[in-house]
Amino acid sequence: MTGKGNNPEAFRAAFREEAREILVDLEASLLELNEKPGDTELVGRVFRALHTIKGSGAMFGFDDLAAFTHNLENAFDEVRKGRLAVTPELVDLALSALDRIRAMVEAQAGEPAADRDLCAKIIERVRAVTGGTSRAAEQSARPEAPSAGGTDRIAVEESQAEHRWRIDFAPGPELTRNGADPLLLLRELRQMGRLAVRAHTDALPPLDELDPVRCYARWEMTLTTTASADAIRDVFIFVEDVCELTLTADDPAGEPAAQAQAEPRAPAVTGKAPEEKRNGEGRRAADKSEAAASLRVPASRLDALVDLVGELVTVQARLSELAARVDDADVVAVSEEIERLTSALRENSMTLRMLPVRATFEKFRRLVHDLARDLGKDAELTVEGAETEMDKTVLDALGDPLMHLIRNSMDHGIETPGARATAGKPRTAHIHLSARHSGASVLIGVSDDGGGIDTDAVRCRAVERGLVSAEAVLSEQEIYSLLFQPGFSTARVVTGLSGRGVGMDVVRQRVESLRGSIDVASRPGAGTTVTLRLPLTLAIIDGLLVSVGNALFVLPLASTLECIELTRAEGEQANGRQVANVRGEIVPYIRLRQYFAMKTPAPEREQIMVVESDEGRCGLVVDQVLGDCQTVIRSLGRLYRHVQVVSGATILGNGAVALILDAQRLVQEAARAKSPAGRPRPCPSTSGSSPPQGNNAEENTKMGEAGAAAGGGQPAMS
Amino acid sequence: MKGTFDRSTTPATLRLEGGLEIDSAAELQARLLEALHAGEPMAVGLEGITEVDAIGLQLLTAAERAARARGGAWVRSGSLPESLRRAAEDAGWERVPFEGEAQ
Repeated sequence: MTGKGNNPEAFRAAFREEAREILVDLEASLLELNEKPGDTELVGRVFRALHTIKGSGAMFGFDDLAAFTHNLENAFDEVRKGRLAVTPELVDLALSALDRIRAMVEAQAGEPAADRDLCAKIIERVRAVTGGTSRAAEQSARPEAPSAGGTDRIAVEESQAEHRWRIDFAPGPELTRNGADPLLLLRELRQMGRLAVRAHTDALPPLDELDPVRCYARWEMTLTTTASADAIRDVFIFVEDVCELTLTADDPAGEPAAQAQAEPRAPAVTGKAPEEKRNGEGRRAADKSEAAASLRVPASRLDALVDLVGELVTVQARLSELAARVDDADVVAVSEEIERLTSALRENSMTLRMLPVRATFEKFRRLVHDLARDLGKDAELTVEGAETEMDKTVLDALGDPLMHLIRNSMDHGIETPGARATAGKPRTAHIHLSARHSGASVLIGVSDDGGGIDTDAVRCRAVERGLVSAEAVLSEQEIYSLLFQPGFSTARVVTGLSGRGVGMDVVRQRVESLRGSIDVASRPGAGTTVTLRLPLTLAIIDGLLVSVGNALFVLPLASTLECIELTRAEGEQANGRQVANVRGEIVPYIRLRQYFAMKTPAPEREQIMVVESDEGRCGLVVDQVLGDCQTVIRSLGRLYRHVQVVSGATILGNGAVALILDAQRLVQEAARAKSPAGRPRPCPSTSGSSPPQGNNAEENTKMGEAGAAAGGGQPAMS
Repeated sequence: MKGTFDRSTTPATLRLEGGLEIDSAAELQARLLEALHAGEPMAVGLEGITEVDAIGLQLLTAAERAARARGGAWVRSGSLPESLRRAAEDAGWERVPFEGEAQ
């Protein structure tokens, strides 16, 4: 194949996947380069990434992309040679070029690859920057000939000294099937220096037995070049998983040792054996071949799997219920076995969808960089807990809310460098993104060290907009929650970024649709932290089934620590103070019966479920703990979206409905209710009475309609 | 890739045209096998070949070997195309397939 646009889309898909990863690295490198313009290693990394994108792009038929990237590569070549300095302008130019490259990578076959005018403009600017210094730039953009330029470019600037490398290259069975042509790789190597190559075709089976699309040949090569081992390895970057590659320094006596020291990875680097790879065969969606220890599976398949597991969990609950009723030892045994398997299946399928938040977080580095430039502010993004894993669905939906929060921080929170200096703060502001697990939730924090929220301004604005009455007494939290009201904005000037009052409202909607919640903490002059509490997973959790009166609740197992007994006498001894002594530690508790205003009398012996929360340990008093259960979470719907303490409902094996309690939230709400600014908590069934909404007539109307549409159904509650 | 049998010549000629690349590998293999199983002396016409990749090289080499193993080495009709020669050289192939046996 020639890679001239007649490739099946599957081959291109493989390239896209790889290119996306390279582009993410490239973007990070460019942003880092902006901070450290003199870092030659970074320049090298940027150059190599561009070189790889160009070379592989041409190989897979992305000719426009290769031609375009070529220009940028030339510019960074000049930088590597020390003829061009890294300036913020160059980095910005490279970043906007990167956006075009990304668009070209994502463009589907047949579509116009990118905005040609814009590309032409960028190329023009790149050429202007490289100016007359570049000999390479003159031969402009010919994707099929990265050759001559590529050769001496690499030759000139790498280490100057020539080395001889022995390269053993054995394509795995998948290499050609994935669309790569070993011949093109060999030709690329040839451009790097003097190449002696010998093919071994002894493994070629008889004509009637050979698989026509598999490459059976392997190659032994000697390459004499000034290019580094990394540059040589880069030629194979898109096939490294599907071939055996050994690169050995092969210099005349005396030199190899020196080479090995200079290039720690040089002496022998072996790719993974093709044998390992065959396991994945036939499982790939796009091209029936996959050749790595890890698989790329379309997210939709995982979603389908998780849905099925959800169904299975519900049916399994019914089976357990049934088994308990018929009381037949065999049925019980089978039921228990199925329960065990379902549980394992559920855990396994859940972990399939867990991804670290790193990629999502790193994306915002660019946003902060661009916003800082546009707003004339000086800000830096720091990231913490990037390895924290969460459900892909949640993670995907998180991008927009985080973007709005960061924009909001950059626009409203962070002051201009001048104002910061006056306030005695460092000129460079920090936006800090953090992620950590907390029970069955993930806490995502967006902090800034800006001016904090001006509660008076927020209040005035809310009164102005008719969101609250002028006399209303509002706690700090209630004022913060006004920020997330539709149409609210304190910015007097609508900028391109924020001030339209749409962003924060969207954040709230999104987070709530994920069954999450938002907390705001702010100190005037010191900054603001918005914490999103999101469920670890959207679908199924391990829970403890408890009862209060005739109502059933599920507490997520991950948030419960232990269970202790509370007798009526003990309760009375505490003189109305709701605290229990747990092995010498004083643990406050909340009586759910009281909290939910349930009329049924309390039994003689109750149970305290001790939960861990941000406020410390706290107990929830229930009548009985019925046992553990796997719980498929069902949303309560829009009508109950303001009911913070209930995160959903579940249908039990016997068809009964149990509410899933958000223990963390419950403790927080209870603590807030006790604080002086707080008010008594309403029962969750009287939904929609959280303060900001209560003052919004329009909102109430909407909720009334929703209530009528939903038939006014109430969750199972006494 | 297009493979046609020309029975008007003696021996009959398998004429290959276009790109001998992975896209058409299965078809090329089928044509070559057909020629092999015809059980008669054959000539191969390669002049119309435009592009050759490693897969194309392999198939030609396998066919050449198979024919020779059956005792009836194929002869080449017409000249050896530059694309094939270049592919074999770039690949460090032991020899250009059908290099020697010109008719």
